[in-house]
Amino acid sequence: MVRSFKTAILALFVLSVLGTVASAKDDDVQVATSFDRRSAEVNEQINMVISIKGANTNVMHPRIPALKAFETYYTGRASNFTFINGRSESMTTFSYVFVPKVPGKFTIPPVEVEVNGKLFRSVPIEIEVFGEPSQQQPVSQPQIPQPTQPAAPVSAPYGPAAASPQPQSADSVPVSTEGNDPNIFIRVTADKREVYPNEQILLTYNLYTRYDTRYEGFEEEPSTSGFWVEEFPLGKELEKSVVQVGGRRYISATIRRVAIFPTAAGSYDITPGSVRATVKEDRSTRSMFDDFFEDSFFSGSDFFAQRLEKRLSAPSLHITVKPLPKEGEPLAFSGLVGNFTIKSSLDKRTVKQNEPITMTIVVEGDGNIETLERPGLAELPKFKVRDSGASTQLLPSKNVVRGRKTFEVILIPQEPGDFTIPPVSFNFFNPATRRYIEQKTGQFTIKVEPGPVGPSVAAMYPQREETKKGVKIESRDIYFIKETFTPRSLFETEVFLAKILGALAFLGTVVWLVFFAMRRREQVLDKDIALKRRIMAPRKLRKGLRDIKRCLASGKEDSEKRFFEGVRRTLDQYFSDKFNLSPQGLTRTIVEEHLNHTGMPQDIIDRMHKLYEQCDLVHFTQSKVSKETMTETWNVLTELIQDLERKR
Amino acid sequence: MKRLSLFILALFLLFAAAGIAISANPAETFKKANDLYRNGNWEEAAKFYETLTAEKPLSAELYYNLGNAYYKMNNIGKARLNYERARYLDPRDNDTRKNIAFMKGLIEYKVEDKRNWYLRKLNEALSWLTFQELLLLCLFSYLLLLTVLFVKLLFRRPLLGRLSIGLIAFFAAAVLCGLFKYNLSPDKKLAIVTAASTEARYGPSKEDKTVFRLVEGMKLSIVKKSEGWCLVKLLNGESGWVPAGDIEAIVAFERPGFSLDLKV
Repeated sequence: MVRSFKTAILALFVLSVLGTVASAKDDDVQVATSFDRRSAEVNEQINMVISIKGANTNVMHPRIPALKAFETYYTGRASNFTFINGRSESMTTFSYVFVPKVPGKFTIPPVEVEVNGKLFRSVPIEIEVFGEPSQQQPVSQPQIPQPTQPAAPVSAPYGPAAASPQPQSADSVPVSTEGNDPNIFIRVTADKREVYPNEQILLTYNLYTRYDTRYEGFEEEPSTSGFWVEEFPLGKELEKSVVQVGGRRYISATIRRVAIFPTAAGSYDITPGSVRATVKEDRSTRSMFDDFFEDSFFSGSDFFAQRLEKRLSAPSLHITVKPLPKEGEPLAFSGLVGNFTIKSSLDKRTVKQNEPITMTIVVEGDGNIETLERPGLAELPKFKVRDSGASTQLLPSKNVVRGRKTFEVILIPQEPGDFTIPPVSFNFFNPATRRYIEQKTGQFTIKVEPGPVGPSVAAMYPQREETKKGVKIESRDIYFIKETFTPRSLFETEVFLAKILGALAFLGTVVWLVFFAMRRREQVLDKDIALKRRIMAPRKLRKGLRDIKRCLASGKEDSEKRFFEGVRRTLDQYFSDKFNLSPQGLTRTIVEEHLNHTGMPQDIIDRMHKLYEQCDLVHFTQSKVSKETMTETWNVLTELIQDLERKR
Repeated sequence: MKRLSLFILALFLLFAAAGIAISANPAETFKKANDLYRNGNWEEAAKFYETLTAEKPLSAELYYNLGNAYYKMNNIGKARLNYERARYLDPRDNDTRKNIAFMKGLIEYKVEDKRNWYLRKLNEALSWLTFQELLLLCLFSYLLLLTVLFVKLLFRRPLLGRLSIGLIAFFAAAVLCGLFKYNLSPDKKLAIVTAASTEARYGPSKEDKTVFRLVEGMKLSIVKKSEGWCLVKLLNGESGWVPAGDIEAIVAFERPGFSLDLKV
């Protein structure tokens, strides 16, 4: 009995499960197709995933339409089954890789999937391919293997980097590095090549490598003159994936994503700049894909391993900026291109006269909102209008520059009454629809009650410095011509002045040198008294003799006394200079000693004594001396000095 | 006698009037050219300005206005050339500097200045002075130094010693700056591309390959000349040969008293 009961319970359970499974209606089956990108370069991989949701059994392999312009690879199948609260759900995915071989715009037709005998179709999807056609012949049949034997044309497992490109893929791997290393390159793609002014173009920089690579940053920034630039911050970890290019596997990492907005119509060639990366040329047998999950892309491992620096650049991108259509252009076009909404609000509806009302205008949407000026307000003659400030907030988004700009306007009613604040108009150009769109906010009615009329209320609400608008340069041009010109004579004055200063400089140098030499001589002589005496002696002697002779020639009464005083003084000075002695305290005896010491003959000594005696006689006796005696003394003196000089 | 006096007076007045007329010519021509410019006759205005430059009044304002006229005629090369001449004569005129900056903005090429940072800073600082002003500064500082040294000879004060050291240093710096401006800085050898576009080649021949391209308004320095070609150099160090007729030297005139014959 018990055994039968258990069997019955088990059978019921199994039936309920089966029944539940079987009861899943065909209507719950959903087939969806997704691509990781909608635009690509020739030979750049596009991943497609077909997901079938809700089917429990009998999911046949999808039928991929024939695509002449693409090589197609099957990369695998995955299934997921859940059973919760009696309800089961399943998801089956089939993954494919499409590699475009020619540029152009293509529509991937619907993919057909047979589930439980019923055929399901996905929606068609448009793909745009850029670049030059591949030299390889496009594959006529998609390389989709039999469902039971998926055979993706995978190249040899990653190993040591190839020294030269494989012949069949030589043209499909873009050569963008110094030395044309096909194992590492960058690709820069633009999501659009033809845009309108101020319309966003998304530039994506992808690094493809087969090496253990460290990304070092940009060596040369892209030249984006003529464009506004907004950079999308990347996450802490770069987005990486394994891709196939030209039949070979690479790790692809998105290293930069930048939105650029052209400022004017025209043709532009954007030079993407260049990137630095270091690679480890490791000859180990481990495959890169073994290391992939150890995040070797930012390898900090093997720090001391030798690394080669690579400088990678990509070809420039040609962008065509079409002028905005004239048809339908509003009179006061804001210049914005994108898709936006506008709304406004007032902080008060009832105020007193001269009390401020704050109007907030918010513009939000996709596009370069930073350049937006405050939308114009209609004329409000009975109001003073002040701009209080504007703030921009960029809203996070992966690929589109999206933002919100808020303007605050102060309205100060000058008179009481009921007023209507008209709607605020705003226009922009929508590139998707290629039309100018005009939007308006609602209008507001306000009631202004009588209030104090005093000095200008606006003066009571001076704008804060930080909210004031800066003086904006509206345009650039050359400055106006000069009304008068400088005559030639001013330049000649310059030359004249230079000549005068030059002459003064020369003279000044000469004068200074002379003074310097004199000062130097004085310093030297002050240090050497003997030398000074020797040098000064002749001048002093000449002066002394000159004075004596003057006395001799003079017929004055006391000339005799002065004559003999001069003779004595001159002799004292002469002998003191000659023998380096002080003139004070000099006696005949000392002079005689020095004369004997120098080997002077006795005759000279006797004449020296005679002269001194003569001088002493006149000095002490006050006796009268005749002119003849003076003349004789003069002769003796001069002869003595001559003899002494001769015998020096 | 009275007749003779009157005759002499009449002759004197005649010569005086002629003198006034001759000396007033450049100013009147300048005014006439300005009137033409204001009325939008830029080509005619340019012709009058060119006439005045041929007579060499050496006026910065003249070259400035000529630059404006060429800009209005859409001749960027000639416009920049004349602005640079105006700046050479009057380096501190704000309008001239701004117009040169505006011209630079119109040129599609960017040339990276690869000189050392101190040379760039020094060149920028010295660009506010003419060479003649630097020379005057050197002379003046030297005279000041001589005066202090002379006073120091007479009155020995420690302060004078320190002052003289400072003045020596200042004078040495002024001389070095003057040397830099005259010799090391390519100020006197600068030229502007006046052709709409030209190519700098590896050699002085059209058969030689192109090194880089130049457009009108670009500034370069002339290294040497040879048979209708000039070897030119950019600030980024790149050099090449261009046809002499495609460029024009900035300083192709003489300042009174200083011979700078730099005609290409």
